[in-house]
Amino acid sequence: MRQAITFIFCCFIVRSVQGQQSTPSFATTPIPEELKKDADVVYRLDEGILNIASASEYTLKVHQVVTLLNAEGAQFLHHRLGTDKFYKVEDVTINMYDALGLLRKTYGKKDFETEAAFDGFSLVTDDKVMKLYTPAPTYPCTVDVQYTIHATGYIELPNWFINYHRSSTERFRYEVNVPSALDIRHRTLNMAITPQVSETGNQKHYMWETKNVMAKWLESDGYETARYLPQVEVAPNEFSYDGFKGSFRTWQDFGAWTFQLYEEKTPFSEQRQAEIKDLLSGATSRDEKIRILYRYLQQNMRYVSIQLGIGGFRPFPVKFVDEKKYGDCKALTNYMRCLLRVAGIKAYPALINAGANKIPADPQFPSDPFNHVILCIPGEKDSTWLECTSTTSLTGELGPFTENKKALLLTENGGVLVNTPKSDYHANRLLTKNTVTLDAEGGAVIQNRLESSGETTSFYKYIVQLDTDAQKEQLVKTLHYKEPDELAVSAQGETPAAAFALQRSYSKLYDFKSGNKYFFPLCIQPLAIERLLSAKRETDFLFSYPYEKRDTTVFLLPPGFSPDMLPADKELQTSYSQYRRSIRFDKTTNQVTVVSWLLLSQHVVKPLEYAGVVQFFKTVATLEEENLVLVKQ
Amino acid sequence: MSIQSYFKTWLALCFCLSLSIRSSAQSESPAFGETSAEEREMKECPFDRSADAVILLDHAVAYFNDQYNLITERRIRLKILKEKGIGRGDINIPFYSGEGFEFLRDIEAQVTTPGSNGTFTVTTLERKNIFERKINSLYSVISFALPNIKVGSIIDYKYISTMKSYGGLRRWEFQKEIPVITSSYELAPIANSEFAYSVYRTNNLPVEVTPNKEAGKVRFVMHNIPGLRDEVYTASTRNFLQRVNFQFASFTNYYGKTNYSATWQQLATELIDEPGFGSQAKKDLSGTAFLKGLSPSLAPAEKVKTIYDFVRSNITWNNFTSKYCEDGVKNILEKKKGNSGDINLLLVSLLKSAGLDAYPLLVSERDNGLIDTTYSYLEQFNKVVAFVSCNGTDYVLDGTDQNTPFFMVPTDLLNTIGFLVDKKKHRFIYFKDLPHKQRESIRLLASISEEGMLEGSATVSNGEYAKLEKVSRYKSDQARYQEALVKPYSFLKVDSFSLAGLKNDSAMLEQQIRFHSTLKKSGGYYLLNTNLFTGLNENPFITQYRFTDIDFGSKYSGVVVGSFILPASFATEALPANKKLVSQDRTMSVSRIMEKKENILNVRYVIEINRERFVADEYEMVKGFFKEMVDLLNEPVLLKSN
Repeated sequence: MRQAITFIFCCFIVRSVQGQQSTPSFATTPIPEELKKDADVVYRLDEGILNIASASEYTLKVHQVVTLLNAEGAQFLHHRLGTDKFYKVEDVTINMYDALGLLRKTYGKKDFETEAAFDGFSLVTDDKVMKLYTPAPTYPCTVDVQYTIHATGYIELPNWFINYHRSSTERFRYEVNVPSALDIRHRTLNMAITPQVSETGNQKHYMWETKNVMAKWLESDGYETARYLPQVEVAPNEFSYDGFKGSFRTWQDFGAWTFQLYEEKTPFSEQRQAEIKDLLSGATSRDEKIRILYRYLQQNMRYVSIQLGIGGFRPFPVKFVDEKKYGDCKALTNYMRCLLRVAGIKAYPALINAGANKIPADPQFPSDPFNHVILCIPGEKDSTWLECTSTTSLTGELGPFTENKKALLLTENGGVLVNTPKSDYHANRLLTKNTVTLDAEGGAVIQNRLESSGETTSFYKYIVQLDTDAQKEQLVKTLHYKEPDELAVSAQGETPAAAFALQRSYSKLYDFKSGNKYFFPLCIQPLAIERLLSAKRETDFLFSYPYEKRDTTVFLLPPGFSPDMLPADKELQTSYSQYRRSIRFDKTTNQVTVVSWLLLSQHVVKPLEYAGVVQFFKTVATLEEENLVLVKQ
Repeated sequence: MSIQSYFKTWLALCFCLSLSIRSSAQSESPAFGETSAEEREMKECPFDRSADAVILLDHAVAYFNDQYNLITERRIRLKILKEKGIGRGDINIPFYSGEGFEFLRDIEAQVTTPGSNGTFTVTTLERKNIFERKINSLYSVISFALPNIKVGSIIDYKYISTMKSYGGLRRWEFQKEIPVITSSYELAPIANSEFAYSVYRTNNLPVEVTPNKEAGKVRFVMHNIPGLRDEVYTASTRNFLQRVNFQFASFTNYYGKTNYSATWQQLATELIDEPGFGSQAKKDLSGTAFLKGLSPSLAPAEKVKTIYDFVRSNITWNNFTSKYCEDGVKNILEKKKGNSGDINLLLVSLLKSAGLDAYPLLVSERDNGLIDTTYSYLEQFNKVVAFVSCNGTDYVLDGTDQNTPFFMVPTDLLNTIGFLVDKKKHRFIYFKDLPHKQRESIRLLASISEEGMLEGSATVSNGEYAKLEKVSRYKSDQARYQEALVKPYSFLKVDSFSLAGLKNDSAMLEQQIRFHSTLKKSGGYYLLNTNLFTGLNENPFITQYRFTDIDFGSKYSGVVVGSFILPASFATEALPANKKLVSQDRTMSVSRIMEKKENILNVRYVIEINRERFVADEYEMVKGFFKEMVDLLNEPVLLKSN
């Protein structure tokens, strides 16, 4: 799915077309002290004007004057402007001023270098980026950036944020001029500004303005920053992109526009239809048919992202995917939909803003926050969801990337916004059994059998693909395994849960010894692998996903060894998590058995309860670092 | 094959050709798209079993046309062996498109994919699915996704590259990230020209070199080369790739024979007059305002520092690395921006113009690989820096480096070799056995309460290369820096953190950390861990095998001194023994001294690594020493509450 063009130079300032009156002083002395607090930079002016000419064209004039108080604000010297076929930078001027406000250097469009923009996952896109670095004469200094964007096709309109992360804003203005017949939809988030609205002839004018917004730190490990920053959101009622006209008053509208891009009258030839039906011969239930076809997709097609023009929104033809055996999320999803259609099963592509920290689309404000497409197969009771880019997910399994969201189903009757499933710890389980055979020198061989589901399976499926040394590194660094001398990992089949076997050997398993006491690690398979930093939070903390883990470890002691004092049984609980551990020694078999269980029932932690959860995981980590002290006679 | 038995030797050969040439197709290569039963049945790479894909054939034939363009016909066949390797069906071929220097044509690809019942389908890449994009002003990339890729697919693709001149002749790398079954490179040089080459290979991987004087060609072939993956503490994997290097040596025409850099002397002489190199370094800039403003009373070393700081703070590096000054140093001084060649040749000319004994120094940075001094290949170097000698002290300065003080050799040059470019004084400069080390000292002062709570402070001081490394990480992300410092000590709670000494070049970087923690309890004991903030809590050498040399850059010297005040009610078990571990080669050591005086426990660890570099064959020794060292440092003191 096409990503919206991003301006890395954070916020926009928009200024009235007619006037230069809003240009602030470039000297740094008049900046009020309260705006310097916690700030590396001060936006003296953050002003933008959006002039919408038609449903397919607008210009955006941006004027940002930013004072860099110190070298920590140096990222504001790196200017990056995204462009593509429909989105061009018309002119740009950057002036650098010293602390006294004296002009030291001017840069223009010719000073920029244009490069292909890489989003990190696409093989091909037509996105480009204009780049320029403007060195600071000294600190503090002021950078004055003015540019105009000309868009000749759009789906969305630019939203303006106040970037308060380590930066304050002296003056923020956003102005939108639009033909009254088109008009816009708008709202503000995390700020209470009402726009001044006026009408001149057939033009409507909106203006949002605020002053003196103090700097503040954005916390990490929470939702995306868009959830917290003050912002003005605007959205079109009508739009046209690459010649495709659409309405955007409701979710239904946008869904209808996108749906037309997916529709094909005869995606498969009669011969291919017959072959697909052959795949299903013998399948009796609807669920079985879905499973067979999804497996067919996973085994035959691969994910490749190629995004060019309307191709950012329209999938490759079904025939292309069928022949080339690859496609991006839209193409694979639409292909799967058409496979199901051959089997007489109705399914809908669903636009979604994927990412564990992404906020769900808002039913009240139709817009296009989406970056991904999945498939929804409505059922009598529940829908079945398919992630068509995954070669390993089970039928109906989504995972944290797309759970807890609102997805826009593309139907013949337009878009319908629905919930995707909520993350559930039952779906992410790990059951392990370890047998530790100790030898008289303190070495050991550990046999480990794992059964897993959901995200925990993804991790082990990935591990199995690696070479032995990379496996070792992953297990030591991610799962906190004690570094084994030798390691073997293998997959042991899929039903009902995915199973794996690990064998480790150690010439010396104990951590240290004191006299005749050997201090062995009590925990061979740490369950609490998170290492959370304690800090007060004001916003929600996000784990990747909720889970349940259970481990049984049996130590087979060699003759002559017996346990010293065994660590105590433990039980811990918060409203988000639970941990239990019990340790038993069986004298007749000379075995120590440790059973532990860790549950993270919800993955979004409220700020007030975060400290408790951090303490919980620290305590569990400490308990897991305890020793099993064995005495050698 | 046995990977431990790897060791490096240089096989250097010189081969001259002065015959006319024409390329011919490789007779023994299998036909394009036609796969053998053996290839189709292959399930894993026999000498690299965990590989996700294998290159069956990597083959190039290079020759010159009548316009002296370098034409390279390239052919690659690979097989996908695991699910993880499926992404290798997306092909990116970067090429040097700046000023139209190189273009690619005749791109073709075929995929042979297993179906059910032992059948195979062959699919051809369509031209319309091949994309070309400009990456930046110098490079472009051809990209395509191959159709019908599954585990078991065999991909065949080929293309022809045309470069404007022999300047595009690059080294041939037999080795890749994934294993290669057969790699071959055939070169037919320009008529009446001479090329020299050198082959770098490990002892157990033979290379076949077949000169064909009649046809005016030479062919290099290597078989069964395992993949080379990233490893910790490696200067550059490029150093260790099996490869052949080429150098244009001479050209004979009607007027006679012209030699190109046949010796280092000739290379130096040629470069010193080159308009984009020596001529720039020699430019007289004594009339510039900056040099005129220099106080005449400055001592030479102060002058070096002042000029170096002026260039670093006034001229912006555009992130391109080059050996040449493209715009002329006077222009660069005006524009205040340039590539590394522009900046460093400007630095040389400023130093010289200020009356200092300065020279351009060609270098190959750590990640570019070590140069071979046997052959005067200019291509081996990726950068030029400034070398200045005053009062018996030599300084190496890189004007693009924002962190290194003038009296230290830049980190990127540690354990490398530079070539000083001067008609008379040309010579190699070896950046090893340097006086500066990674210096670290940790002072711990803490007390333990009756309830087993540890509370105290740490002063972590870093000097020289340890400081440079930390400063560069701190500057790039402060929050992450602090996080990384305490991450291995999840049991500690940091109450405060401060950092000083960032600005002053000669001062230590000093970090103050106040912390508290509940002591770990086990088997009725409190366990006191005294190995705090060393970063040596885990052995970094986990892997079983090692292909590349271990290169720490510089030597290391660390001291931990700690005093722990115990409550009167606590007794200690037998303290961990006073001990000194020394590595087999006697270059690394760690010692521990612990004593308890009344209720104060004093600990002292001294860690010395007196070698910058260990060859891959010494991996077991280094790994073993680190394992023992980490165990020694991690051994806790057992405390018992009475």
